[in-house]
Order: sequence, then C-alpha cells, then structure tokens
Amino acid sequence: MKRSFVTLSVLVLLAALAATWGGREWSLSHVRYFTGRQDLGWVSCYNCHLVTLEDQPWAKPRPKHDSPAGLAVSPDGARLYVALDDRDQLAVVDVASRQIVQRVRVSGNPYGLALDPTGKRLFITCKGGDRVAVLDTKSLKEAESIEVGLMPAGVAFCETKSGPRLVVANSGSDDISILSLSPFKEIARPAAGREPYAVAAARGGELAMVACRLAAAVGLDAPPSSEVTVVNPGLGRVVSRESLDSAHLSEGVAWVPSRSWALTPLVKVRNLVPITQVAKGWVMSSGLAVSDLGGALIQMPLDEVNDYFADPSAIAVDAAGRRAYVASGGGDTVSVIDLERLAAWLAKAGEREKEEAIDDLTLSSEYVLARLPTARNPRQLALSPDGKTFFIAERLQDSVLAVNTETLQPLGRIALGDGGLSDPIRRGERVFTQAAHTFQRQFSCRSCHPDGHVDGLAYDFDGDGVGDNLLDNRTLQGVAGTMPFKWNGKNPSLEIQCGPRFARVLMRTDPIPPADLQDLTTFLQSQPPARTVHRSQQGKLTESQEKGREVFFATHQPNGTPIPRDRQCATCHRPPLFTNRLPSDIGTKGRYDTTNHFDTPHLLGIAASAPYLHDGRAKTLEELWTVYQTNDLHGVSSYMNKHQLNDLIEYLKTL
Amino acid sequence: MAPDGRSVLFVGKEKPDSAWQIYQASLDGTAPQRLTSMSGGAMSPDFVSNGDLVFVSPVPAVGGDGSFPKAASVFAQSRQGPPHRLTFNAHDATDLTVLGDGRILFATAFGSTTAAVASAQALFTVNNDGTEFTLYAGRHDRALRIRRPREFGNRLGYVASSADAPSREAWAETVRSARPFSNEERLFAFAKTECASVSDGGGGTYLASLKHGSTLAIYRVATNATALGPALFDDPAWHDIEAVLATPRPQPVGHISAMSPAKPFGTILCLDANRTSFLAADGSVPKAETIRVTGLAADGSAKWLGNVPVHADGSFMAEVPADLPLGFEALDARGQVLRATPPVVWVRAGENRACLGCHEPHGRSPRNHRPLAVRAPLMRLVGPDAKLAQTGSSR
Repeated sequence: MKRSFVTLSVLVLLAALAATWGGREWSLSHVRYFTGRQDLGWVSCYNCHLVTLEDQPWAKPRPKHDSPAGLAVSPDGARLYVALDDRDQLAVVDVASRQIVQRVRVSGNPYGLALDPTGKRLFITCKGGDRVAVLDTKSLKEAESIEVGLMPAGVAFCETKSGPRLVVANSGSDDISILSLSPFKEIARPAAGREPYAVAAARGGELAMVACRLAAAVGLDAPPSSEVTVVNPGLGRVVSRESLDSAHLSEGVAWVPSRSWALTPLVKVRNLVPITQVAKGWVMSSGLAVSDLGGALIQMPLDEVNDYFADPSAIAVDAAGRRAYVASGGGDTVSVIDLERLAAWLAKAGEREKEEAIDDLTLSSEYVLARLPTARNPRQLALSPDGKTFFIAERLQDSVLAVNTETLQPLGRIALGDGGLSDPIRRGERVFTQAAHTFQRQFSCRSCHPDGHVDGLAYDFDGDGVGDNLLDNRTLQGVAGTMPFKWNGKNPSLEIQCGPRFARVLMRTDPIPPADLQDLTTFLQSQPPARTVHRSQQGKLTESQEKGREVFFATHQPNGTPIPRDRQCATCHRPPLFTNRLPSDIGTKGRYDTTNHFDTPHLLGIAASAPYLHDGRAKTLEELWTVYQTNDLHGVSSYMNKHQLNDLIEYLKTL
Repeated sequence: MAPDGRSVLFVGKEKPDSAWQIYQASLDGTAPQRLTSMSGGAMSPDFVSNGDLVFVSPVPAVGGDGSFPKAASVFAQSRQGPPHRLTFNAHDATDLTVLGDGRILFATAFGSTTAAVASAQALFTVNNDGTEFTLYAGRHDRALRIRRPREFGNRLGYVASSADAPSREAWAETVRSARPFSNEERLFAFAKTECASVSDGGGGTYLASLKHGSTLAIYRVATNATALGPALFDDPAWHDIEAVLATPRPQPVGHISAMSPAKPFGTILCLDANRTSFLAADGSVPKAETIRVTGLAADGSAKWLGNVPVHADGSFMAEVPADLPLGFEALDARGQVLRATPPVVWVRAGENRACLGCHEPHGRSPRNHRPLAVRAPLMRLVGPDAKLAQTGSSR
C-alpha cells in the first residue's frame, strides 16, 4: 500500500513537472510565434489577451463633484455665476449672502463663462459637448446653442465695429471659433497655437487674445514655444501670433487698458537643461508675459528664490490697471501684483535685464505685493464690477472664496459641494495637482501632465547620466492597464513609477505618502484616453481611415510579400489598448541613448500626444516613417506610397 | 528645539577640560542624554526630517585657522549609526540650522585667496546628504562673521559681526528668503546693544539675547518695536545667550539621496563658464577656452586634477573626485588665467552638480538650452596624484 502510494506520488509529480515544462515550452513557442520575436521569455497572457476597454477603470462610472470652473459676475455685482462642468450645471450665487440661489442644468460640461455688457446673456462653453450655450440670465433658460470646435474652454465677449462677437478657444481642435450674435453663428474658425485655452478681449474688443497651453512639437534640442494668438473678431482673422519662448501652460490672459498691456501667466520651462537639481527654478518656474501686442514681449518671474507658486492659471486685472491677481493652482495661493511697481521696473530696466528677467528669481519681490492662501487648487478668478471683491474658484475644494481687494482679507467662502474627499479619485486629483510634493513647491504632477495629458516636451533626467536618455513625456490619459511604465519599461506599476524613485530623480523631496500614492494612482487610472477630433467622430471610418486600418492590420504587402510578424503594426500595438506592453527595438536608438529597447506605448488618443518616439524627436506621426524609420524596423513602411502612409495616419488618429 | 517641541538640544561639557558635546534634554525634566562623542567636540545641533542629528564638528578653536583639512564640518548621525561627514569646506563650517525645506544651512567663509576676505562668511546650504552645496545669502563686499542663523517665516535672522576689524560689536539682522542676496535689514538698531542670538518669538515677536547692562539677557521684542522693554529672562550672574520657543514646529521636508556611495566620483556641469561677474576693465568677458580644475590637498595646496575644454556655448563637464574641495581657473587660448575660483565647492559620490557659470549672479535660473558639453564624451579628471582622488571619499 505504502509502496503504491509512493509510486503514484512520484508519477503525479513527474506528470506535473512534464505538464509545467510542456506548458512553459508551449507558452514560449506561442509568444515567439505570434510576436515573431525569439528574444522573449515568459510573457503574461494579459499582455495580449483578456483585456477589454470596458474593463478599464476609466470606462467605469465615477462620482461627480461640484468643482467650480469659469466664474462671471453680473454687471450690478449682485450675482456670481459658477460653471460646474462635472455636474453639467451652472450655479447662480447671491453675492450678498454668498448662497447658491439656483442650479441650472447645462449639458455638455459647462466650463468657460462670459457675460454681455448688459448682463442679460451668459455665454457658456461646454467642453464635453463641443458647443456654446446662451443662457437668458432673467429666465435662466438656455436660449440658443451652437456647435464649435472640440473642447471649447475660454470665451470672451467683444464689441466690434462689425457688431458683437464671441471668441471661443477650442482646446481640443487647436482653433478659434469666432461667433456673431445676430444671427448667432460661427463666422470664422482660424487656427490657433496648440491647445488654445483662455481668451480675453483687448483694445475695447477690437482684438481678442487667445492663450494656448502647449508648445508646438519642435524635435530634439530645440527650445519649445507656445503661442498667444491675436485675432480681430470683427474680421474673423488672425492678426498676429505672439511667441512665448520656452514657456507654456498658459491658462489665463488679461488686458490692461490703462497700460495697453496683455498679461499672460505662464510656466517657464527648462526641459533642455539636465535635471541635476530642482532648486533655483532648474526645472521650471512661474512667470507672467507682458506684451504690448506690438512685438514687445517680456517674461517676468512670479516665483521667489526659495519658494515657488506652481501652475499659474487664471489672471484678473482691476479696471484701473493697478493690480493683477494670478492664481497658483499647484501652490494654493493667489499672487497679488502691483502693476505700477512692475511698470516702474520695466521703465528703468535695460534691454538685457528685460531679456533675462524671467530667470532672475529675486525680481518678483519688486512687484508681488502679497501671496494669499486659498483652499485646494485655485483655478479661475473674477473681479466684481466695482473692483472691491475678487472671487477665487477653489476647484478641488468645491468652493469659491471671496476676498476684499483693499484689505486682501477673505470675506467668506461659498460652499458648492462637500469637497468630495470620500472619493479616492478626487483625493488622487488633489495629490496630482499639489506642488507640495516637490522641493520648495516648484511644480506638481499637473505641471508636466496638464489634465493628465502631455506637455509635449522631452526631459533629461540625470539619474542615468547627464545628457543621456532624453525622455519624451507620455500621456497619463488612458494609462490604465498599459503597464509597465517608463520608456525602458522597468516600472511594473504606477505605484512604483510615482513612488520613491520619482521623489529621488525629480521631486527631490519626500516620496508621496503611501495612502496619497494609492489615491494618486486611482486618479491616474480613472483618466480616459484623450478625446481628439478624429476620435470624437461617430459612426464608420472614412474611406481613407478604413484603408489605413487595413494597412495597420496587414500581414502582407500589396504585392503579396509577407510582413514579418514582429514588424506588423498590430503585433506590438495590439488592440484594444494598442500595446503588447513589451519593450521593442524599432531602430530608434539615438545619440543620447544607452539602450535600444523601448516600451511599446499605447496608441489611444495618439493624435493629441505629439511629439513621438521615446525622446520626442518625431514632431508628427508622418515623421515616424518619413524621417525616423530605420530599415523597416518600426513596421514595414518602405512599400507604402504617400497615400497609403496618409491612410495609415488617418486611421491612427481615430484610435 | 526638536520639531515635536518636547525636547531641547544643547551643547555642554561634563568637565571644564572636556570637549563640547551635544545633549538632548526632555522638557519633562528627565536627565539629559549625551548624543555625540566627537573628538574635538560638537556644536550647533539640529534634526533633519528622518530624525538624524546634524551638527558641526570639531568645535572651531578660538583663533584657530579653521582651514582645510582640519576645518569644522557638518556631520549627520542616526540614533544607532556612527556620524558621517556631509560637508568638505576649505574653511570652518559653523552655526548650523535646518530649514523648513529640509536643507542644512550653515556659515562658512567664501574661501577667497586674499586673507582679508578669507574670513568673511556667508550662508550656504546643502541637502541632508551633503549634496548641492549652494550659496544662500552673502556678499563679497561685506566681510562678516555670522552666528546662529535661524529661520522664521519668510525671513532668516542671524547675528553678524565685522570680520575685517575684530571688535565685540555684534548685531542682529535678517534677510528675506525671497531675495536673500541684497536685502539685509538690521534689527534692534534702536537699542544700540550687543546681540548674541535672535529667533522666532511667536506672535510677531523676536526672542533675542541682548546686552543691556553688564551681561546678556533674553528679551522678547515685537517686530515693530521702537524701544527695548524689560528683559524676559535675566540671570545677572551669567550671559543668557539663546532662547528658543518651546513649541512644536513643522517637520522639515525630507530629501531622498541620489548619491552612489560606491562611486568615488561625481560630475560637474557648468552651463556657461563665460557667464561671470568677473569683467575685464572695459566691461567685457574674456572668453575661456579651457578650465583648469584643482583639488585641495591635505597640505592645503591646490593640486591640478586636469583641464577640460570649454565648448562654444561656454559649457564644460567632467567627472571629478568626490568629497574634495574643487577650484577652477578659466584659461584663455594662451593658457593665461582669466579668472579663478579657489577650492570651495565639492561634489559627493555619484552627485551630478551643475552651475550657471563662474561667479554668476545669484538667484538665477538657467536659460533653457541644451549645453554642448553634455553631447561630448565625459572626461574624468584625476590628476597625476591618484591619492588625491581618494582623499575625499576616504575621509
């Protein structure tokens, strides 16, 4: 009996070993056959199978919050309008009592607000609905609506010689909708810079300035520059394009009539300098562009030598042109700027001083009067018509703070919601936007990933050598399920990607505490892929896109020549996430790289995440194959004519 | 005062001929505990964010030269481990305090080669691993000795005295952290009195040790005071030299070290060696072609480590021995010295250290450009004397 048991046990053990060995061998041969790569070892089934978009955290319902977006104050100062984009609502607040008197439903994520001079009509950009709604402020009913470009954010009312106009920044389609009001229609849609975001009327409405958040892709070693697009709303034309050199993330713009200044908060970025330190604004700093719209543009610092006020967003200027207020979304402060002192400094400064001013962190104390603390994430500002009160939208606190402009003391807080702290996604967004996790509060996660997306820049981290391994910033939108992370694919989870390693190489401070890190990764995984012009199209693919789809999934060239499996697009960029999550050598090792294997990025929303490749050398999708293809290692493209390549790119843009 | 506000660190000696050591006393009255056993003594204690004790050792001798390699340095010591050295100055590092942002601030000499300025001190910072040695505040045109720097709010206060002409006059002044290089403001000027310390008194007041009579006493002075009130504490038999508020304060911010202790070298990157405040008589900046790098040897002499070329944009980069005071000379095409910086800065093992220029204006951020030096092969400078390269890391 005992002998039988031992014999049986040995046989079972041998069978198990054989099954395990055989299974492993089968698994390896399966992987190697279907990837066409003999260098791969064991790979999880989940790299290629059992993944659905529906199962991703970003596809699940999530709690909604009363996050204030745009603010507008009625001409009589009695009412404050607050856009609640997450709720699809507009809150109407009685300023005297600081109480919400009504919530009005506005579909499509109402975001930016502008009033006509009479205060009878409120214009609302609906970022998710790609439209502008007109609200009758007496009845609080939606009177009209018009389709505009993708993801409209800022809006401004302009009185022109040709009649009243609305100027709308379409952040998702990189253009500007110029609307007439009688009739209510789009009369022009000129191209803007990348991600137009904020709008302000200038010169009495003769002009409108549109601040764009991102710099255009420029390739390796070139400094980036973003754009303030100046349009003539009456004519519906672009007048000029002001370049903000090595600056971006402008989310506000204001006109100072008494000085004929355009003021644009900005992030001065130093992505070309190796990140050997964070101190002294080595990575980035906050600034303010002062422009006369006539070619003279000076960037002035808003930070200090030992303290930073990250993510400058909204700006408001009093009617007398005496003071400007700039919200620091990452620093939870509003900086109060004495424009007279600023003008005095500009008047006495030499040309070289002006040119280098943005890099002199000692300067801000010349003209920054005060730093007002706020609750979490101040993002929008509005001044009362009498100039005595300004309102600060504390986006991730679900509140609006009212402040006396003379005493700079708080008057009270308007509660819109409960702050949403029971929601881990909301808590994670608070971590994501908080600069307190970096040395001297220089920047937040959002400073490189606005709204979880990309800033379009490549950086030189010094952890693997000064000057080596430039890294293009990758989007966090649609990042769930695409592990591993980092371009070398060495970080198996977001917790590791964003944990102590990041504190050491970038933040230069304490790592994010574990509970906050958990919330942060929950937030990151809740971010859906970017919505792009192409991705938002409904229904079937166009003829070109369909042809491009066939190219993408092709296993043979048109002449019948087989395409090796490891060079078929869909092998590495396997649906539904369009990544097999494995590092590959696609012949892109550059002169600064120490490896030739790079993680395969997902392609969801790729149309909006330029530049491309691990170091951001490709400015466009076209350049991937027209400039940087090497021996058909990044897919086989040598057989393609320009039409086939265009079709492929048209298809990629729909992902 | 420890950040939790429950214990106080102080310097004392058990016998008159003992060395000064650091003790910790709980405010509940239990017996003080000795924390250090440093040969040559220890002083200026504080805690960094991970709870490690940081201090200066040895205690500089009165009238001593305080120069390399015997200069007082900053050390860190965990509860269990031995002390390890963080700074490698050519001159005494004294009067340490930990800033809220986690950096260790201390006073040391600029390191000028001229005797008159050699003793002039300024305030510098390092991270809690000794990396990123950086000027915090100080001017070459003010020959000061600086004692007991303390951070309060957005200001830094300290006691200053003249380094040029030895005198007993010592006064309190502050600098604003927003602009620490040119906004010194003298405190208590109305009192015309000697000052031994100044710190945050809470509620818009300073706690100061001032001499009003024959001995120093502790005063609480409002920031807007125009006259000195009665002493808060005065033991007429003794000088009462420093008072601290016995309240909790925020824990300093931490810093994860990026050092590679096993690596005996660090990297220096200068973005533009021709960006300097050293101008020629006509206001121009003669262009440097080569940088001669020296290391301070144990005998106090500057030994040649190597030359590194300056690229067209003024940048240069090289690997240099860790933990060794480094000097730089900018040479023109004929090898003539255009400008020089004596051995002052160091890099730690595996540290990548960058600067804007040679004696560049302070408080500046870099221009956004990719320096040519990072595109060239990295040179390692060790000089003919291999021992020198090991001097720092073996200390």
